[in-house]
Amino acid sequence: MTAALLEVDNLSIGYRTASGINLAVDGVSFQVERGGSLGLVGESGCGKTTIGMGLMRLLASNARIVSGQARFDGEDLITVSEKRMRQIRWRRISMIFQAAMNALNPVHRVEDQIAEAIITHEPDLSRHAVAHRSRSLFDLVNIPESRLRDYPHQFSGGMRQRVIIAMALACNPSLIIADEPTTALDVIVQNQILSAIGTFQKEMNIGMIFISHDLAVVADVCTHIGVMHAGSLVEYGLRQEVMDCPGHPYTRMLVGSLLTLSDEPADLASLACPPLNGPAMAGGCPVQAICQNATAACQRGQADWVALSRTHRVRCQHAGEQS
Amino acid sequence: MNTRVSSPILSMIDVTKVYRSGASLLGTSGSRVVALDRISLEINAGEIFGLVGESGSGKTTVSRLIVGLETPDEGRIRFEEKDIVGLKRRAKRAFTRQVQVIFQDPYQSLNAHLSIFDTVCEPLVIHGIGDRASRRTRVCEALETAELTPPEVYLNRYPHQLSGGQRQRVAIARAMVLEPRFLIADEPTSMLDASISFQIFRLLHRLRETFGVTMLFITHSLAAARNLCDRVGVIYRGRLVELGTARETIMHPRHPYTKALLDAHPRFGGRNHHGFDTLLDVERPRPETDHCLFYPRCRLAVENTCNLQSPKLKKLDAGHRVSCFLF
Repeated sequence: MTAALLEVDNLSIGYRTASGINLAVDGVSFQVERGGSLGLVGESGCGKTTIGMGLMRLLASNARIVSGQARFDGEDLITVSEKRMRQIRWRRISMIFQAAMNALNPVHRVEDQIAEAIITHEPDLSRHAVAHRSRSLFDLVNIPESRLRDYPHQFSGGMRQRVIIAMALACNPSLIIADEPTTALDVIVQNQILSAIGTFQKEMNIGMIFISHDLAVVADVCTHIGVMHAGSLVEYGLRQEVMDCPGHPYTRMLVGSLLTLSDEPADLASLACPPLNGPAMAGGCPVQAICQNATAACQRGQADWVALSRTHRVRCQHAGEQS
Repeated sequence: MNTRVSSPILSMIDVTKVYRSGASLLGTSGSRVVALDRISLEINAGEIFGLVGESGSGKTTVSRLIVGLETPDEGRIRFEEKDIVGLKRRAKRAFTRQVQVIFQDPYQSLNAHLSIFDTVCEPLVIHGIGDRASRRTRVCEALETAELTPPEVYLNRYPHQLSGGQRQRVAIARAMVLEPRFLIADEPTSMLDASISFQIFRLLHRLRETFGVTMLFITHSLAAARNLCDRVGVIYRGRLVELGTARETIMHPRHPYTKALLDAHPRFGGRNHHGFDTLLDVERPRPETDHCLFYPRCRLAVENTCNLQSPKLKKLDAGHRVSCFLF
């Protein structure tokens, strides 16, 4: 097995608060293969965006990487100098941000904004090469070349999001972090964006971390799924494994609350769906407050990883016990 | 679920709404945006009617017209057999008490300066219902209805102290405190996490079961419409293109646009389930003449028919209606 593109090992990130360091990400480990895609799923506040920002070293000033390693192509993203990080950021790792509506500058033509992204990171390129690359990027995300000289306000929400994707691809990165790229878009546009992402990922062999709260979307685009709750990764595996036989109670709940299209509507009243906003517990399993199978053992400490298969692992005391 | 179906509580008859932009005082006309184009639909008492479409299709305009935030340019809207346009003060007040809205964004629809008690109590004050003590009881009951229990914990809190899901529950409590007969839920979960959305759907479903409130549920998610609604209307660029039971419309769609929506729905893994494939990769130019609005994007469009006239809503079977020349 070749070395993975990105190996995150025991990453913890905390925010300084009045009552000390508050861990938003607690000992998370995962890998992203070249050309592979990992979906990080979890509800708001579970730390998924913090992981993305931490890997880009773009954390807020009150956040601190407490421990851990993130080996990217032989370098540890956590310890490299800021100067080196500036070379890696956007050229090697780029990010698609959530609020596409606000990520473009309204007073510049989109062509110039894409060119700026390219020139900033590759100042040696000729004007001609830059123009050529912006055209091919537009082609890749399926926007007609004639729209290159338009302003952002002349674009629809979905097209703006595609411009953002084009900008993220501008410097041929090998890893893309997509943070909720389709939230707030409607289904048809979402589908177009997801297939644009799928296309470039395949064509350019880019690794991707796809952050979303929507398990259905993640299951649509990713090869691997990592489920997060309250800062911890609780389940990790291939898409089919996580979707077909979720091992963690929290994942089972997420999968159970997916509304599917079927001949018979789901019986909304009967599906078990306990309140999710349980308080974070000091010590113990992070899911115990909302878990129906929680026992005294869950209060004592967080469970170790249990391997369900070579690629599928779960962090639960009771993994594999139930039917 | 069909046992409940009775006479229509709300009907829209040939409703058209046009927004004008950029018109100046000197009479030069600005551009016209037809938000709704001769929409007719009926919502029966006790049912959950889903209105499905992409952003900009006019879904929200429908809800704004029904509550009277906008007036239609043409057509009539009737609630309980009475025209709602031009209601006089007392009748209007009686009407607004019966029809309540849950808006899309619970981060903006709640007043940050009002405590939860004041927020939920405000409709009672406006309509002059009850005295101090009885209002407090009613507010608590409404919060319990919205599954914010125990209600006393929430009364003195402010919106910023609540999560998105809790805020949307407050909005639901505010709508339910007047015990309305008709509830409009305008994309109530598009700002919320998937798991929280599920709970809100379940709550809306329970409200109908418990209080028999009629609901107009506006969404762009076919899965939500499938699981929550009795009947569904699909709206495209201000025109109703398909109407029928949720099961028929979503599981066996007839209109190419409904099929495209179904194709766009995320399925777990593999994109090879996309069976209909009706959306063109490159859109056709929009014809100058009257035409089927979906013609520029439709792979199945018939030249010299779809680009020359606009289709009418045709009745197929068992209340399933489609506006497409293919039927």
